[in-house]
Amino acid sequence: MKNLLKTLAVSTALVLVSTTNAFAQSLVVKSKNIVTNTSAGQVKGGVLVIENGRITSINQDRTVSGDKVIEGKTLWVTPGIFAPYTTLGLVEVNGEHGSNNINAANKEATVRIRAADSFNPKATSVAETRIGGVIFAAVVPDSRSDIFGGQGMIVTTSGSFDSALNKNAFVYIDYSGGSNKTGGSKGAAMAFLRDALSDATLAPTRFKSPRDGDALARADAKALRSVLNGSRPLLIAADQAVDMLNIIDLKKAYPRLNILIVGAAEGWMVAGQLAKADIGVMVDPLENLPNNFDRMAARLDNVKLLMDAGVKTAIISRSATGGTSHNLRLTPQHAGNAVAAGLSWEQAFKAITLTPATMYGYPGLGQLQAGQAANLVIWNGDPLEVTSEVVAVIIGGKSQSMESRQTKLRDRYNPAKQGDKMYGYRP
Amino acid sequence: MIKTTTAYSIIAASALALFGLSFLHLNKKQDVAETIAAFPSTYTPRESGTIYITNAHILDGIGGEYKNGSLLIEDGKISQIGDFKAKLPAGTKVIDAKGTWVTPGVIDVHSHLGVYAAPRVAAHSDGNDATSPITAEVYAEHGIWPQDPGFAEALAGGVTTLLILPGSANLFGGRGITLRNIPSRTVQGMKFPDAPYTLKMACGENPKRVYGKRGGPASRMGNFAHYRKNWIKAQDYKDKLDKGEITEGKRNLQLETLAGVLSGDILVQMHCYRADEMAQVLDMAKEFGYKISSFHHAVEAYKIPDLLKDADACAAMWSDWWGFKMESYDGIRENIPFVHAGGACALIHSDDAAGIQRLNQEIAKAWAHGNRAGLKISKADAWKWISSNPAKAIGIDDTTGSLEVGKRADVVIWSGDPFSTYTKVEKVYLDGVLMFDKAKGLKPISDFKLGQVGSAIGTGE
Repeated sequence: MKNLLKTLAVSTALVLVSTTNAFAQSLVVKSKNIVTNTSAGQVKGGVLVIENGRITSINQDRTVSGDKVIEGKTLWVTPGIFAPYTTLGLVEVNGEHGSNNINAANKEATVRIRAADSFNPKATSVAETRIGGVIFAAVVPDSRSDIFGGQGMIVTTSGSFDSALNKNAFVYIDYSGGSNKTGGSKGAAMAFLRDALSDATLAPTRFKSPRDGDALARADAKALRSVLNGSRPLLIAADQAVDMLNIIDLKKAYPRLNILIVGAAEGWMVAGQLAKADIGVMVDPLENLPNNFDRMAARLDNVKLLMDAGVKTAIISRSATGGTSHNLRLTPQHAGNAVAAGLSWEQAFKAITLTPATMYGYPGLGQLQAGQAANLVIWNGDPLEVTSEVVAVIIGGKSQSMESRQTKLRDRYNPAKQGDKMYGYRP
Repeated sequence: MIKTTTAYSIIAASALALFGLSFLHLNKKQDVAETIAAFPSTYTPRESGTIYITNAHILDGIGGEYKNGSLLIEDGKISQIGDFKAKLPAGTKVIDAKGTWVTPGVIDVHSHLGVYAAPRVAAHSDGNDATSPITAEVYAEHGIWPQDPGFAEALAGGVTTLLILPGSANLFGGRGITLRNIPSRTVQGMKFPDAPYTLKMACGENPKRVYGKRGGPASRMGNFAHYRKNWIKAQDYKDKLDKGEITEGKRNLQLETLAGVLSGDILVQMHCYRADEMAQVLDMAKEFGYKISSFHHAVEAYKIPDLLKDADACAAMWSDWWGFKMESYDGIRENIPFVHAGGACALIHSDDAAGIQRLNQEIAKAWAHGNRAGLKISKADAWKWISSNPAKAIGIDDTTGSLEVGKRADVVIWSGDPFSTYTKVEKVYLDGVLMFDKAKGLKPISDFKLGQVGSAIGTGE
């Protein structure tokens, strides 16, 4: 208990441990509430102990001590937010082509394109995302030349060069927006998709030369094979109810496909069918406008209606400007608004943590339990409240920096902290 | 279809403002002008009756807070506010607002509802007349589709007044129009009576990107050269107007708008991100003797609160947008509170059909970040960012933007503290008339939504 740190009810800059080093010894967090996302539920007045980077206990024993102690009457400890649909690290400034690797115009390569070859863990948005409490992200290469975007990855937001957890985690298809890229109609897009799956299935024998596929080149057909047995999800963007029914039909033809639908603005209309087909969805709970003819039936309680029908539903923030890249930190706000629209708090919080983690095959990253490496966020209040602040972030057992380019700009221009140094020489 | 790529092009807009005073104010000496007050407002509110809202937590929009306050509405106006007991005339509607918060209606000074209406099809793209960098002659009101379903959703978010602006493709984008947020068959039926016109102008990347290969401007230097050339023309035109030399048949709509700025009748709403660029614009305004009412987007306003304060220019900002283009790269979450702390006029704006539905959450975020940085801003003061400051920025603070006696009874009742994610709008009054009531399902439905899939249940809830 040598370095006891006590935070006040309204904690400001609570400095956790030093930098991004694994805890040499032990860290104790004495909180108001620990959200475990396990059968233990929420532990009120919870105390969490980390030793050598691993969680060793979660209980209510407030007498425990350690090398470092963080204590606060308002503190919440939760699994880190998992953003399931992002372009994080693929772009520095969207408007500047040289820094934007979100999609590719090259018609010669589609499925074989890997987000992992574009992802830059040093992109400034990665740090902003991390200090906003989002510590995992699925990085999606967008499509441009046809319906296929390519192969997505799973990353942490540690910002380190080894932050990829899986460089070939899933394949992405833009179906609703893809019709203009593949034949000009949805029928053409679905024909292309069926042919592509056929090419993938028959890739070992169909191709005598690189162009023998019905839809895909040989290298793309080979890349698509990774989803055929369901070991990797096939992420398909679609919003219109009838499109989702057609995707369900596709799964009948390829029952081993592990399909996840992104968007699903009209998902509530076919919620029963989605549940029966065991297709999970990723939905933005703020979408209530008929912004295009695929989303005519968009409504605020879409997430609730989907969950009520038993559909596995994760929450995304695509409606916000930067909501898939620079402003992923708004993900908890979106989940909070799903609560305002009728969801329970637990459902909404799981939809940005455990649910997406499980969709991508990493349920442990969405839970807190003894024995696991510590991946968690400490907040000064309910994480779904817009006025709550992230106090500390731990990824893979390592305490993370809470600095970013924006905190540096903030500190330089903070009217409450002006020194007498000349402009340009201030920190 | 990942959003960031499309958001970039949509953001490139902003605009102007209003209507009502129109041309005759430019030219008071001219009888001819009396005949051309074009497109007048036809908005007339219904009878409000007398409404007494009591036991509410009230933020008055000018920094005042009543933790157990009351509000009396008579004839569409605020007639009393505070801790008082009123003698209520017979027929008064009494609302026991225990547990709720009451605020002025939300004012958004930067919306493209109607000019980029949902669905966002090409046929609804009426916000940028991107045919020339100088289109001061266009009016946003001529591009507004009153059936945009976004208006009703904004109302459900507490928005009672909004400035619809042309986009930011052009240096001089055209006139904006201030609207009452009520359902109407016509734009004229929504027009805020006697609100001043505004002129949307744009700095920086957008004009030079759009016109760089179409005759220019192709640089920020070119942007300023074009502004100044046109202000010089406007000086000449204003001179002729003042001398009575502009008669019917000789009007120039473009210069008429610019001369209106020089005479102070039309309020400049200037899309501008970078601090250094705003400083240049302020100097240009001095050169030609006009005033910037508000910089819009103003992502770097936190770097120059002193300059904004000195020029009495407001900054209309987002709480946390950044990074979608180079001039938005230095965005910080403390922008609004830092501008406020510097003594300048800070306000929130949406520029977005989703964001406009919960501007209370946007100021809540900004407020929290500012206080974490060491400022001490009250919720009552922060509410100015969404009420009296936007009203000032578009010149309607004499009649709305606060719950002061005599002002329009534009009132929102919230289910609780509007700085919480979970709080929802319960009731919205415009001029004392109940326009939205969540519990009773009172909410306008546009013609477009009728008979559409899912329309029986509206947009949820």
